[in-house]
Amino acid sequence: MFTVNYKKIALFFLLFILIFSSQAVLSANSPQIYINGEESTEKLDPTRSNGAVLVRSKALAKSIGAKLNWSGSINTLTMKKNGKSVKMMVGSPYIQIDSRAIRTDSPMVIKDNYTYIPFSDIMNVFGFLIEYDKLNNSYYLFKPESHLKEIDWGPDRQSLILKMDNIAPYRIRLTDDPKKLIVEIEKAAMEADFVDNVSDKNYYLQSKRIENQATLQIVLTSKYPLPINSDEVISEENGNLVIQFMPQIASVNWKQNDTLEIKSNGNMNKPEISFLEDPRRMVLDIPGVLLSEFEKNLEDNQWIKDVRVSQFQFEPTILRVVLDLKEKKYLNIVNQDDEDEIVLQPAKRARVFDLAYKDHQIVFKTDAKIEPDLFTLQDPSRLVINLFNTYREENMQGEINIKENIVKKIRVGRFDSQVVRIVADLSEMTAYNWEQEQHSKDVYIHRISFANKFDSIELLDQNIYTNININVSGKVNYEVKKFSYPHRLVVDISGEEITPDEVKLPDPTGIIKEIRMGRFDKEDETVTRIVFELDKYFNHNIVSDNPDNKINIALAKSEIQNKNNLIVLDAGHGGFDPGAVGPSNVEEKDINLRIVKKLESILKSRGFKVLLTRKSDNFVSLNRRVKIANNEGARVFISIHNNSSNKRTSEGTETFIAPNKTGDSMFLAENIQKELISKLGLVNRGVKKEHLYVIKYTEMPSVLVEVAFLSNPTEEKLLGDGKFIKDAAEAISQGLFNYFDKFKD
Amino acid sequence: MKNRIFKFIIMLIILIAVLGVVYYFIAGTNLVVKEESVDLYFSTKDAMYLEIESRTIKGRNLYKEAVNALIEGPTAPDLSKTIPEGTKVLNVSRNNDKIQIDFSKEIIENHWGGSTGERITVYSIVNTLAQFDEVGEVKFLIDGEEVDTLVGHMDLSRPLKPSQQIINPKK
Repeated sequence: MFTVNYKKIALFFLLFILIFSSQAVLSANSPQIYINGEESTEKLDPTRSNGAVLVRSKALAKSIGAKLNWSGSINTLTMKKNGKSVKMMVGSPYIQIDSRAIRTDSPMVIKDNYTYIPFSDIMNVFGFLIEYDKLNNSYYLFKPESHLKEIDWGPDRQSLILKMDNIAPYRIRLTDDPKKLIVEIEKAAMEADFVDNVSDKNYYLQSKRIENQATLQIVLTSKYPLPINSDEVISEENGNLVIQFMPQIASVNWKQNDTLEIKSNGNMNKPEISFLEDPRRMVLDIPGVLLSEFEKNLEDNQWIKDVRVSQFQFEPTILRVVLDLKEKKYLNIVNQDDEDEIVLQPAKRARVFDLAYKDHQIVFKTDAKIEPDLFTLQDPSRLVINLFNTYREENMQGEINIKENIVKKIRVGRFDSQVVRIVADLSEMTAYNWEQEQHSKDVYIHRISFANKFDSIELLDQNIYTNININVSGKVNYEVKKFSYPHRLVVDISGEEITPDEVKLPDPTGIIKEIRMGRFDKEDETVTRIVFELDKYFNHNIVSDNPDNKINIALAKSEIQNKNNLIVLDAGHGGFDPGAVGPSNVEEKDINLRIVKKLESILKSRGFKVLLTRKSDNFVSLNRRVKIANNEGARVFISIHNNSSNKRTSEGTETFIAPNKTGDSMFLAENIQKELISKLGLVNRGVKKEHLYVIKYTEMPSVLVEVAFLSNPTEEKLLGDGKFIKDAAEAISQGLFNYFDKFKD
Repeated sequence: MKNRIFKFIIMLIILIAVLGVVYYFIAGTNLVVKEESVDLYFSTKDAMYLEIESRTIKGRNLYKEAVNALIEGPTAPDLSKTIPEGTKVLNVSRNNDKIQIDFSKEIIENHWGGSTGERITVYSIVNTLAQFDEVGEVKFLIDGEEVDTLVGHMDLSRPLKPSQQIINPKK
């Protein structure tokens, strides 16, 4: 009885192994091979062995023009080309390449009187690149299309220059390790006499091949975080690839003439300064500068105890320099003549006096040169002027009532024992301009005037559009005109307060080939004119309101074709993840899906293709949701959620975009939010930027809508109502249509 | 007999000395109890912003104590809690300017949800920890594991820097 059973089991096992192994043979079907684009499968007769592919040696040698020599007596094969020689023996795991040997898992074999050799090991030797297409089980072998000849530093070690004989598709991969940078170049190889001028005790350069891919990887590892914080730092310049670094701090030195110098190896912007007590310290936040090893030399002095430097923030990059001040000592920034250094000198405590308002300006005097800190605050609008290391003269006016158009009142307060604070109450947020003028030896006059100015002019080059963003400190009236012969777009901004100087014009990009700015008088107004000279013209849309404090124009880069009209709708949560749960147990996942289903039917009725990341009550990971949208190349991604907080009083509608995607996503979010507010009438919490997973990693314009608060009993009740769900879906679709209309594509 | 008692006493003294040395080394700098006034970021009632409440905290690990104080909640009646009931800080470690903080799973299980609710929780912790000069960014772990998100909105797969937008500009 026992033995019979035993035999049966053994038989069963045997059968199992047989079936299993036959399947293994089936799955190891032989691949297709293309050499220099030519299908060579038949002559090479490839077979798989231990994962590697063996091919007929004679045919391989012929197709790459190598010489073959077979010594039957010692079972050894030699293959030679361009002075390179490869030698191997039947059954031996070692392949001799010139004077070195490598190991292979699949040695040469003899089959039907032909020798078969592991081709990938050998083709690498003869300078071929191998790309394996897993889907079609095909190997493509070809010569590199470009070679990396040399890597060197640019001027001041501010950039890395990769010298190539030919530019191939390239990209930068940022790793989680800030000390590591990977550059990938397609179909490229290292030149035989490649020169590495970069590796030293702080830097280490490696080249790597990704297995079965024709991509060359250059890995730079540094002892310190690399001065790079985006993957957009690589560009082509004179036939080379150039990786531009951000400036880094180089030294902090106390000089004998009582001066503190902070130097970097590139241009530094003006730091933001604050003073803190306990312990007394002065904090300089320098934008756009990275931390690195720097020289520090603080000779014994009466002003500072120590200097600490840290990378306060990465996006945007801010370097924080903290000066530990000695008792009752202050430093001031003196003129920053050289842009790669910041110079500080001991400051005496200045007296503030003669505060007045005249000629639409706030005027006051100090008996020493100072660097005040000015900023505006909202609700109510006000300008705050902090005068560090100063004291107020006793008989200086403490309050001035003005009731003028812009400034209503000026108040003087004491922020702390070392700071005099002047606050100007404003009728609306406005731009200001501060200047300091030396009147006599001990009198400096400060004037603060209020006017509009350009904050920035930016061009954002996107897939279909170039977005022109003109940001002004206050609302302005403007007019956009299109002229032909040659094509140009003209933006006329009225208002004489606006000052065109001091704004940096961006570099032309996309179809914009030149940007100019000028002023002229028209009737009794001064007009600032910005001209965008265009290569060609297709279409433009004005996205901003008029008047507005930001002028946004979307300029089409080509004839717009609507090749993919797919909209991906994402109902948040699902399955075991209910999302937020309301006080009477309404679950967010259900509400989200109801809104999404309603939205789907509206969009389909308008001729859009719609794909849902989930159609029923099941769990889908955030990563999977992103992949669905990216793989399908959706035009727009909308994630529907309902909100919650731990207080029942929180209420309203808000829409999120990811901080890394502003242009199109922002316009979409603003349109949707606007419609939701007007249709649902809940509290407007606004459009916010946040690192939310699904909208951050999707590659198309993406928004996440939080329709209402489930944690709020009133709003929870609304969300249970079919009419409200329908209204929400209609508002979101209307916002989407408005967005599409503005882009007319 | 006397000799034996003498030996015993000597042995005892040596044992105590050894134990003392061992204790000193194990406890090391953690023996030092620090005290500092810190800014805790709590939520406004409408969950729109975070606002600061200052408190003096005391302990061997100020990062942990600051977050424990957040868990306790605010004293001001117009502010509200940001971390769900039952949450425990399992571990806090710092590497350069990056803090890694490991929470018990209650931070997810007892969470009220919502993008806003999650944002408030995450930044109350990040902004509170980032007030220390040496801290630049914060990475979240739950029960020792890396996570993509807390409750389905925020991207926690990467460390986060403090948010300025979420701080109440009116204060």
